Amino acid sequence: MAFALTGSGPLPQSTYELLGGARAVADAAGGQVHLAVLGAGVAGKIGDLAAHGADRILVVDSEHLAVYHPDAYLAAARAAAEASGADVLLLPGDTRGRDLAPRLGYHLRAGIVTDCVALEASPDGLRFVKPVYGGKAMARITVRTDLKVAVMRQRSLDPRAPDPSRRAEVLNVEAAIDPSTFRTQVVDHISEETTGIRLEDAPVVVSGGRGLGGPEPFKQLEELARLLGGAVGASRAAVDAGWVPPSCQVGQTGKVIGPDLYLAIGISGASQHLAGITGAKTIVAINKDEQAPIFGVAHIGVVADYREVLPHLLEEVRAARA
Amino acid sequence: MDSRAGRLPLADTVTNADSNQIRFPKVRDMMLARGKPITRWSAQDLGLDPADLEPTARAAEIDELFVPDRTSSCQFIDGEDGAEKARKLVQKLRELKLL
Repeated sequence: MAFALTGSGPLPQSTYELLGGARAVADAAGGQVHLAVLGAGVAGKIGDLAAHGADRILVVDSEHLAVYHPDAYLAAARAAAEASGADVLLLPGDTRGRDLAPRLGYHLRAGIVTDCVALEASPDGLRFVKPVYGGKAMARITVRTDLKVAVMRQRSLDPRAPDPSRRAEVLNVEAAIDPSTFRTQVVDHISEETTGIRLEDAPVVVSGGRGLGGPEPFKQLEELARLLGGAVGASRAAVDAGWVPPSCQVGQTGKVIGPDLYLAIGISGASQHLAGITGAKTIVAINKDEQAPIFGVAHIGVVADYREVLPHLLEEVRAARA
Repeated sequence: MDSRAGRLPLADTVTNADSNQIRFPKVRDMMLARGKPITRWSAQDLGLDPADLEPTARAAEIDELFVPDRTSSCQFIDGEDGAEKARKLVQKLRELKLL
């Protein structure tokens, strides 16, 4: 069973990714795909879930789930898990999913595997694959408990192409959520200035490193990212130098992302940075040093000073978009 | 971002956000540390069943560690100057339907 932790907003993209992954396993090994949607005002959001692979949709709809709270979501998740009877519970690798997984695992006495990038159905059972050692190796893992919880890295599973002929049964699940039992409460909510698409969700990321030499060139990266419908990222060097906010950092101690296209500009490709982009489908690197390690993982490389290439790249993309 | 309040006992995780400042010990504190007691607990002291701590009790087991086949053959884009390289790059990205 996959989980959609929606709060009061739309279904996260991860929902369709989890459904796609679960569907692939069910098609290979048998079994049903359930989807638990936890949130407030859920009814109108579930329309396309059957088409994307769900056999059964379990809805836990409560005003207490409008904003993520670990105690509320734990109660809801447990109720859904019990109603479903599924033995594999898939959670999205966003902050909510990562927060909920260990709690759910503990309470259900389920073994958990986090940061998975693949599910493998084999005759011996389901196995989970995750990157280890900063992405330099992969581990194939078996969970021995009957119930298993897995947190799937965002953008690692592919959604299914929707099949409008598919049908799913919808079950409303009651969960006893009692706010007086909550062990923590939100005292203050500070809204962050987030302009544009989140780094983890962006299909295209344009990233800059030490080679850019200062904060000014990042304006060009911002424009390029905007034209390509993506977000701006940065290496730790650029963040430590104060050229961009820490929220842009991609890498081992920053964000781990899996965009369709990753443009690394003026980034040498230190292993800690590469650990953040093992999931990127196509990596393009622009660097004046042909020995830069980034070219070892890039699919397309341009050996040049970015100052000679970027302005023309921007022009070409502007023209293409016009 | 939220600020939260909670009842004790409370477990908290600390991130490497740059708003969290490392606290550096003073030399005096380092010298005093030598005399501070270190409590040692055994599994028995914590009321843990040693069987639960054995590798065989692990809920998850690594079946295999492998290095993925990263056939990293980087296609280098050539050109007389930056403009030509940029043009070829855009062409390549279009071919790959990324643009």
